[in-house]
Amino acid sequence: MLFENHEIDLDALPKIETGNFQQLDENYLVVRYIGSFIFFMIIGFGLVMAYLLTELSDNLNLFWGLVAGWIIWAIASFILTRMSYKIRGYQLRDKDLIHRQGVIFKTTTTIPFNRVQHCEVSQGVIQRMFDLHTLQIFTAGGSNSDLAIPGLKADTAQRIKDFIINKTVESTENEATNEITDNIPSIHLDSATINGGTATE
Amino acid sequence: MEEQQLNNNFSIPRRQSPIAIFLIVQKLIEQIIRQFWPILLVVVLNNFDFQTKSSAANEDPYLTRILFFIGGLSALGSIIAYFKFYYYIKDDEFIIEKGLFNKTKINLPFDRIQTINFEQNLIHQAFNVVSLEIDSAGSTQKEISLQAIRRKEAEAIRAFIMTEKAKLTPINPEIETIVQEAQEENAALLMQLSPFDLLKIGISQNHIRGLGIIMGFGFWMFQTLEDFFPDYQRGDNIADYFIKDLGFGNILYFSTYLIVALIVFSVLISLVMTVFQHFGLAFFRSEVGFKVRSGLFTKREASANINKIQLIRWEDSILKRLFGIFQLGLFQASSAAVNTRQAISVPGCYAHQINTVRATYFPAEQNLNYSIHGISPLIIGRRVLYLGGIPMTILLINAYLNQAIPLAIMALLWPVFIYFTSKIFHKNWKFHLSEAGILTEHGILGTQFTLLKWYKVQAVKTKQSIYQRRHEVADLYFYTAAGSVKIPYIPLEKAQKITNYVLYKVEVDNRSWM
Repeated sequence: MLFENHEIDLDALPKIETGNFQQLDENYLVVRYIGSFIFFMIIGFGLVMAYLLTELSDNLNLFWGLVAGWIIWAIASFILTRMSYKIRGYQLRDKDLIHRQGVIFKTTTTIPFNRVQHCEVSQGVIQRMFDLHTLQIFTAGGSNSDLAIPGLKADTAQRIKDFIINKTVESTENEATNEITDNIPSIHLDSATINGGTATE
Repeated sequence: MEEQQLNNNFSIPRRQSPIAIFLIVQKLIEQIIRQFWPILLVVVLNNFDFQTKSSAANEDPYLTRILFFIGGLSALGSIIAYFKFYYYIKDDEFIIEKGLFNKTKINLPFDRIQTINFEQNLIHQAFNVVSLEIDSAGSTQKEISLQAIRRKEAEAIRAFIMTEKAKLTPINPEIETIVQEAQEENAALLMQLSPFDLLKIGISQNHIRGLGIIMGFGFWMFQTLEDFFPDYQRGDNIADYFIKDLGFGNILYFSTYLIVALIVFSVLISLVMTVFQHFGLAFFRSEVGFKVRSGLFTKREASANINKIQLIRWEDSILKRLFGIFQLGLFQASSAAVNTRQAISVPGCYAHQINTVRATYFPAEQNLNYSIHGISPLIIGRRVLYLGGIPMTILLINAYLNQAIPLAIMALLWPVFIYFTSKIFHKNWKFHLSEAGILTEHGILGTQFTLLKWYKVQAVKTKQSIYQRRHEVADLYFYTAAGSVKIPYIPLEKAQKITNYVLYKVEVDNRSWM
């Protein structure tokens, strides 16, 4: 078994926390606003219909309570939409794609290209008005680790998709020749490096 | 030589064994009975003359004719379905053609095939045939199942596909020999469950499921057969209905007996189900993976290719620890999310058998230096707040409204209980990191272990709630093609370092991971 086994410093690895995240197209915020607006209009219409057609008109306290709830919910939703737009972003790297999203639960998901099964570019009705697209990235076995990045311009979405597909094909070819595997440098993973030298427990 | 002949023939479209007709009819009848059994029951009861004890008296001729018509139609449909169903192998694809008017053709390329499983019920066993299920991976869900083909043929198909599949992916010579060995089927028996083992497993099962089945069945029976209870009105309390005739004094005895009976029946049901499911369970280790064969009436055979196995999990409970047994699960890549069918499960394994499986899945594991890590104690407070505080509030409001003091005391004690169990939870949560993989262990009463090799990972995620962001901790997830591993509440910096490391490991590794 002759192979090189270099030692690598853990700090020398590319870091997901330091890269710059690309924000989604600013029109996507408008797309989300329109989506929320339509949603709340439907709810509001339902409230009005309930007032006109049912006994809700006899119970004004309940009705105004519902209206207040509707307003608060709508305002909260618009604020959250704005906040989530600011947080949401992606970072395209040479070997993987990072996606960050969520206001209440902030998640950062990374999919290496050599684990991607296929990619798709799709478009919703509201997104079509602004010529925006959603890039979907699928992995094997269920949808838990699939990614969807909305609010991309047509050429951006297509370019990222082509880039990922190229990388995926490349990795399958490497898999076939299987030449690099023996040269993986090893990294020591002792508790000191992982804990960052600071006592955490 | 005979096998070679069989292989060549696979390119010619062929039908299943004629036994398939019976099986299709049987499936149809089962379905009809399952959906319409209350109607059938009513028909039988209405037509049955209790005086003469014969059903001939006042039979409804129309109903009988309709039943015969439906029966005849489904039999005809089954026969057509049988004759219009062909399967063959062409250009490294398994192909099925079926349908009379609506012709369907399913192509399943060999390199997409994940698992090939056999199943035998009583009819299969009588005619020495098996049903064959071929499962694929990927988002375009494809699954092929053949109702009945001869056992020899099924084995030949499996061997043929496995060999061709191995040729398709050019790999190092090591695996070539593995494939040759696999053809000879020299599987080594890892373990076999004796009746005594079955008893242990049955007793240490989770009996809540058995209890659920009894209760569910009781309510379902009662609701479906409601019409046969003369004075029962919809909306009446079921308990009231029964209590009415019992008298108040007897209720205490009655409920004591009921509880004892429920416990006994739950254990019995678990036992019976264990025997049905796992009777004669044999766990094999072949050169390409693992094979499990079991079942009393329905014989199941499931196999997992070692390359397809993404992660392995084993766990014990208080009762299981008493017997020194673990439940083992091998999770392999499949089309559906985390399909229980795709997870090979062995209900009772001893420690040394677990070690054999570990060594097969992860040969390098013995030589690795694991570093042991725990999780942040912040999780205790959060668990007390969510698992303790929310139920307590609901119970307290309830107690206040009903003026129930015992309930209020229980409500106040609940968070204390959660606090102590959470302390144990935090203390028991450990993860072992190494250069090639991770081992996690957690649990309050029992312990669940999960072993995952880094190169099986296909996505890494960190998740932080607002509270977690304030305290700079995060949940870390590793996703594979067959389920995920979660590490809760570790320092954010640590989570990021592990993420960077695992991504590096995955991205430089060109081994085929499924």
